[in-house]
Amino acid sequence: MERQLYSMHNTIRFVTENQIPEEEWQEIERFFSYVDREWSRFAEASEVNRLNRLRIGETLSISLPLARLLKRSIRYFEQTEHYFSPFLLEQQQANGYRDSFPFHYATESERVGPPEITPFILEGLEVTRVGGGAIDLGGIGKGAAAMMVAQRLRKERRRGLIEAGGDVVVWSDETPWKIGITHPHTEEEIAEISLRQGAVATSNRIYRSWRVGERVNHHLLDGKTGRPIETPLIQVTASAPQLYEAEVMTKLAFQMTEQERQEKLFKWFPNGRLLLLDASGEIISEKKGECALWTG
Amino acid sequence: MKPKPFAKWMVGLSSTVFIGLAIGQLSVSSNGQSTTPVSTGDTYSNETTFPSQPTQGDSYDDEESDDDGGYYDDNDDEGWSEDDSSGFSQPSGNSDGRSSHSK
Repeated sequence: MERQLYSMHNTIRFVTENQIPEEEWQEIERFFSYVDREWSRFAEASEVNRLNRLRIGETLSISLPLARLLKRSIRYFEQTEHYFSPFLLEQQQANGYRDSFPFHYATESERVGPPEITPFILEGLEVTRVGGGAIDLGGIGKGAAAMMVAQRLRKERRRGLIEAGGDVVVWSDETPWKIGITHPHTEEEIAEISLRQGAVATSNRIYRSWRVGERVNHHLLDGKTGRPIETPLIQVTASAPQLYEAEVMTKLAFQMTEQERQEKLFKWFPNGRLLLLDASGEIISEKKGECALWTG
Repeated sequence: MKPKPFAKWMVGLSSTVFIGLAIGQLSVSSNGQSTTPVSTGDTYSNETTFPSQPTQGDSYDDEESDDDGGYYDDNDDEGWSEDDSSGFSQPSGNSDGRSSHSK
C-alpha cells in the first residue's frame, strides 16, 4: 500500500504492506510539516535560521529532532575531517544559491572561508554558538526526516520503503526491495540494487546548477574550501545501512580521489558501496578494498 | 534566544570535549589520517540518546516540541547497522523505488 505527501520540495512516498492508519498518517504529516517549518534555511523563522542568527556565547533551546540531527551532523563534520560540512550556508550563498529552486541565473558574492571549528556546541537541547559559520542541512535533513519516520514505522511493520526525493530507506525481513538508480541526463535506470535493509542516496551536479555569466555553478561544495567541487564525476550513488551515512558518503566521494576513498571514506563507512558516473559516461563501482569498472 | 554567562559556556564546552574524549568519538589520527570508523547503530553511545521528557535542569520549552509529531522518542540508529546490500546490478525494469538527485 502506498501513501504520499509533499515536503521539502519533494514527493515523499511511503510503501508498506498494510495501509498506514489515518491517525498515524496524520502524525507523519505533522512531523514533515514541522521539518518544513523548522529545518529549512529558506524559512525566515525556522529553528535553523534562529540558530544561524545567534551571536558567539548566545544559547537557544531547540526541538529534539533537530538537536539529534545537529549532533549527528557535527559528529560527521569532525570525523570526516570536514569533508562533510553542514556549515557552508554563507559559502553556498556566495556561490549564488540564495533562493529555493527552481532558478536558472544567479550572481556570486564575496566568498568567506569555511569554519575551521564546529560553530555550535550542544548540551541536551541547548545549542550555544562558539564560532563562525551557518547551518545549511541540505540533503542530510531530508535523509534524517525519512530515517526518523522509518524507525517508527518499522516497529510495527515487517516491510516498508520510504522514498524522499530520491533518497530511499527500506526494511524487510523477507523479500528484498529493488531500488533503481537513474541517469541524470536520460532519467533512465542505469543500475539497480537489492537490499532487505538499508538506504540509498544519489547526488549529482547537474540538477541543482545555475548560470553565473558564462559559467555554470553547482551546489556541491568542498567542505574544506567552501568552493564548488571540481570533479570529473557527475553523479554519485551510495548505499549504506543508514540514510544519513549514504548522504554523507555521496558528498565525500565527489571530493576524493579513488585512493582517498579507499584510505578514508571506506574506513569511516566500511559497509558502504558507491556507484560513480563520470562525464565520459564511464561507471565505476567501489566498496572497501575493491574498485572496478562497472558493466552490470 | 537568551544570553548565557561566559563561565557556564566554558563549563559546557569543557564537558562536551571531555565527553567526546571519553567515548572515543573524536578521530584518532595517524599520519594525518583519521582511522576511526564513523559510528553506526551497533556502537552508538548513550551520549546521543535524548530524553523524551524534559529532565530537571533542562530549559525545555514544551511549546516548541508539540508539533514535531513525537518522532523524537526513538534512537533511530537502533537496528540499522547490517550490511545487507547485494551490490549494484543491471536494472530489471521493475524496481520498487528510485534513487536520484532531487531536482
